[in-house]
Amino acid sequence: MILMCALFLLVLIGYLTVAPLPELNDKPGYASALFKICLAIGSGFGITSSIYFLWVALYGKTGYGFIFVELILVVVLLSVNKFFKKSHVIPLQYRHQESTMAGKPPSKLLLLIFCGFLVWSFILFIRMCHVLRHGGWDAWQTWNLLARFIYRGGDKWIAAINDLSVFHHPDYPLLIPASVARLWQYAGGESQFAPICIAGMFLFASIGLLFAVVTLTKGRNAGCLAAIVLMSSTNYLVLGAYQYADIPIGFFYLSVVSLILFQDLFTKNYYISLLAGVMAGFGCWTKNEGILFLLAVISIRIILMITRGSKKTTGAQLWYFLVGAGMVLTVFLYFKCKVAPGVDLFMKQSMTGMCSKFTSPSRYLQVLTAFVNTTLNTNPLFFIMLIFPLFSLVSVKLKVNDGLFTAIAVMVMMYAGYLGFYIVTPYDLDMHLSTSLSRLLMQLWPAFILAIFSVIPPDTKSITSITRKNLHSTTTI
Amino acid sequence: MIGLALVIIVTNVGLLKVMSSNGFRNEDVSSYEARFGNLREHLSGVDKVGYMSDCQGNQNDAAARLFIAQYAVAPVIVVDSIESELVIGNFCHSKIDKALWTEKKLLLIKDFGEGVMLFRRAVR
Repeated sequence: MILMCALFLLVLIGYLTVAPLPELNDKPGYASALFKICLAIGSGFGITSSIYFLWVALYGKTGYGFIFVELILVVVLLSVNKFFKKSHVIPLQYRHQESTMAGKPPSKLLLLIFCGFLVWSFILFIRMCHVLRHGGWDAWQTWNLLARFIYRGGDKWIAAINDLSVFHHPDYPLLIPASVARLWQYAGGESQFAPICIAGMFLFASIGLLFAVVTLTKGRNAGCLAAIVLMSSTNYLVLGAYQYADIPIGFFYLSVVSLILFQDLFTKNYYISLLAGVMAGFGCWTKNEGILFLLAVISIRIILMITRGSKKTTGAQLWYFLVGAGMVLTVFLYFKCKVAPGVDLFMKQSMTGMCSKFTSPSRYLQVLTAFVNTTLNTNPLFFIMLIFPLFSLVSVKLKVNDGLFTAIAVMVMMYAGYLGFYIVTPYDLDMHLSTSLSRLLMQLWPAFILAIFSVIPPDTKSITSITRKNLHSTTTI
Repeated sequence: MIGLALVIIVTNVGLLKVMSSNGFRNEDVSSYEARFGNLREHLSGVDKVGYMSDCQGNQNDAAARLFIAQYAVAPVIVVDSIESELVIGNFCHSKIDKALWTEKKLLLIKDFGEGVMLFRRAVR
C-alpha cells in the first residue's frame, strides 16, 4: 500500500511537470492524455530519484526527510501550474482524427491486434519476472546492487561504492538504483516488487508513449502499428523483464524525440524544449550513453540554428533545451564529483591507444559485421523498417521540419556514435560486442521506430499545414 | 498496414517460443540470497571481506558466483582474495576438506550450512 502511495506521488510529481504541455485539441483526447501520463512516469522517476540521491548524499544516511521535500515540491508545482497559459490549437481535421483520407474509420482489426500484443506482452513480462525476480545479470550485478549499497550502506554508502570492483561499474549514474532504494525506503524494507515495478513502468510507458505520439501525429492506425512493431521485438520485452537500464534510457530517448517533433506544432512554446532538455538530462542520469545523446541533440540543434531561416525561434528553443538539461546535469555532475570515478571507456586507455584503434580498418569491419549479424538475429524488423518509409517518400512530397530533421539526424549520430564506442573500446572487442551490442541497439529502437513513422504520411491530412495557420503563439515561459 | 502487421507477426515467432518454453536462464540468485542470509547478519560493521571457493566451472561461472555473493552481502565489499581479516567461504561440494582453509592459515568462525562459511585470518 505504501509502495503504491510512493508510486502515485512519483507519477503526480511527473504529471505536474508535463501538465503545462499544450493540447492538440480543445478537449484532450485519449492519445493526448496517454502522451502526458507516459511522459509523467519518466519525469517522475527522474525527479524523485534525483531528490533521493541528493538527500542521501548530502545527509549521509537514509531517512524520511526526503518525503517532505517531495510533498513540498507537489505544492510548488501545483502553484506553478496555475500560472501557466496553454496555447490552444483549432485542428479542424483533428476532429476527424479517427478518419482516414477516404473517410473510412480506423481499422478495428489493427486495434484488436494491438490489444492482443499488449496483453501478450504483459503476460510475458509477468511470467519472466516471476522466474527472474532479481532480474538479469546486469540487474543484480550493477543496478540492484547499487540500490542495496545506497539503502543498506548508511552513511558509508559512497565510500563503499567507490570501493566496488570496476566490474560492477561504480561510475554508472543512479536514476534506477536511487529509484529502487527510494521505494524500499518508503516500504520500510527491501522488496523485489520495487525494481520489477520500475522496469514494468518504463517498459509499458515506452509502448504507450510511442502509441500516443504516433497516433497524435499520424492517426490511430499508425499508432497501433508502431506499438505493435515495438512489442513484437522479443529482445525489448526480455530486457525489460531483466530489469536492465537500457529500457529506461530508451524511454528518455523516445521522450526527447517525441517532444522535439511536438515542438514543430508549437514552435514558440518553449516549455516543450525545456521539458525535452530535462528528459535528455534524465537520460544522462540513467546511463552514461545519455551523454552522447545529449551532445547529438545539441549539435543538431546548433546546425539548424545556423542553417535555417528562423534563427531567433530555433535559438530560443535551443536555449530552453540547455536550461532544462542543465537543471538535471547539476545532479549528474554532483554525482560524478562526489560519488563516481570517471567513465571507464576513457580511464582504461591512453589517447594514443584510442587513436590507433580509430585507424584500424579491421575493427570497423568487425563492428559492422557484428551490427548486421546481431540485428538479423535479434531484431530483423530493423531492416524492414528502414525500407518501409521509402515507399512513402516516393509517393509523398515530404516537408522536413526542424523536428523531423533533428529526429533523423540524431538517430544517425547515435548509431554512428555507438559503433564508434566499439571501435575504441578498451575491452576485448569480441567480448564487448557479444555482451552489449544487442542491448545498445534496443536503447535506440523505440526512438528509431518513431523517426521512421514520422516520415510516413498521416492517416488524415497533415496537421502541421493547418495548425500553423491557427496557432496562438502563446509563449508560456 | 494490415499486411505489415501480419508480416510482423509472422517474422516474430520468437515471442511464441519464449511463451511456450521454460527457456529462461535460471538464476540462482535467490538461492544465494537464502544461503548468505544468515552470514550477512554476522558481517554487521564489516567493510570488506575476502572470498574463496572450491566450485568447479569456467571463468564466467566463477565470476558469476563471486558477483552474486557480492550482491547477497552488500554493502560489504567482497574481494576475491584470502588476505582480508575475514574471508567468506563459498563451497559447492557436500564434503568440504578442512585442509582447504587450514593450509591457507584461516580459522573457521562459523559454518552456516549449504557450503557457506566464515573464516578469520589466523594470527601470523
